[in-house]
Amino acid sequence: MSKLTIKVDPDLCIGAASCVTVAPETFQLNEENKAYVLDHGQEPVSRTFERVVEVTDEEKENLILAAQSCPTLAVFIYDEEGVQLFPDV
Amino acid sequence: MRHVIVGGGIAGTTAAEELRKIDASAEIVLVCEEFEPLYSRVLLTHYVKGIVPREKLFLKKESWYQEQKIEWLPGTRCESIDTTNGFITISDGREIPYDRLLIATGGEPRTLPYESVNVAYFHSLGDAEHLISLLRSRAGGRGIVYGGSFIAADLIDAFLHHGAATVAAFRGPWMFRRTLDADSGELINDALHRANVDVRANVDDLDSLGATTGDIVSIGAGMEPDLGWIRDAGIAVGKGVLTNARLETNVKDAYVAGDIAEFDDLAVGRQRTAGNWTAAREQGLVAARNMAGARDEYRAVSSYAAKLAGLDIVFIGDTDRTAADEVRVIGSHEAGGVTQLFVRGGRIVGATLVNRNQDRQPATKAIQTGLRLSDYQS
Repeated sequence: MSKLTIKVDPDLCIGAASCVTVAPETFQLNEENKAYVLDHGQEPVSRTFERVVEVTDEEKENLILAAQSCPTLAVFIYDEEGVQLFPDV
Repeated sequence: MRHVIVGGGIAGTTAAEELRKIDASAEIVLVCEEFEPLYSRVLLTHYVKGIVPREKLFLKKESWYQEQKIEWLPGTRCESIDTTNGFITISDGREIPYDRLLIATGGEPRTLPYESVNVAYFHSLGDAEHLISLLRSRAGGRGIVYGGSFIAADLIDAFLHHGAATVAAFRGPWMFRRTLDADSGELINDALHRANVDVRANVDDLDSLGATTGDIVSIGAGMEPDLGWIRDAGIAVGKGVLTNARLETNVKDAYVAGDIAEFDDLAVGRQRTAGNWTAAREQGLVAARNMAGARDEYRAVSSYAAKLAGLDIVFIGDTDRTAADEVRVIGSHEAGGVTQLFVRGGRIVGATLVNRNQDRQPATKAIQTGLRLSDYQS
């Protein structure tokens, strides 16, 4: 298991919904066509563009795929130490 | 096993990456007409607006190709395919043999017989750079956009972002005239008017706009793929290159992915082209797996979303009116939002949403599950 911070930059997001296709438990589109972040289909506290989620290795791999699929690179993933896993800088 | 991929966009590059994941020892050749490593075409609008810098457009570094042991041939065209003997001929005259071939050359912007130094199309990084330089040299001039496509919408939005006096000219009474009904179209015209765009409907001739060399004339008149060299190879083509759901052509060992594929779309039960980033990427993955011996089918409900003058426009699934038995309209111009549901054989196969984002999830799900129109609840 690992703890990841998942962040969507709403200014970059164009609502292409690639991330929703790849990881619907983590990403959905709001009423403005911007992707927001869920924790395994749930929204503890409130709707947000950034969330820390605890995931299995398999889920982590899928989240990286979701971020890679974004045509505007609007999805950012950081590990527990704050190291940016995607986009690779 | 030797895989040759023609086209270095998102479909072709994704396929190369997937093939390397599957087989560490396969030979992979990637023939690319453009000179740059893979970049995001979708980000080009953000780049022109100045929201992202040039270096952020790139999805791969030049060193990536070598690290992945992919023989990358930038600035190279494929001139012909010999499907009998299994090789392609590239622009420097070399012949490259293949065991499996992937065609992922995408589309080309439809050009119009209007030539001038201030004309811009909007497809490649080079086009974006040309447009940026025109925005500098023509500051104070009009930003004229001709066309009713998503690319035209991006161009209008880019000119508005720069505060240019913007002209939106198109054939027919509203943009997307082949797809949208009058109410949807009028909503877009209203939004353009509210943004102070000079809307010129029913323009059949670019010359009639009286553009001067101080203006920018940008054209978003749709896409058309270059199919001649593929047809010449004996590969069946229609609007694109014809494939089944496994992205196989009629010719052995030749596959297709991305905008140029006219594939058997299982989600809507008809052969059609998709023409968007997500579909191109996913098709690249499926084609690669099948080139490596799998028998996967591509199945997805594709969508295309844009924001134009503050208005959200979303197309989902099969939105070809001529292929629909019925189009059900929800909402209206007066109500401020319109959704069209495209129905074939009683089932929902496509949808267009103008300022009705709330319908995106239910409409997508309806298409995914082949829901009957009578069971749809908005």
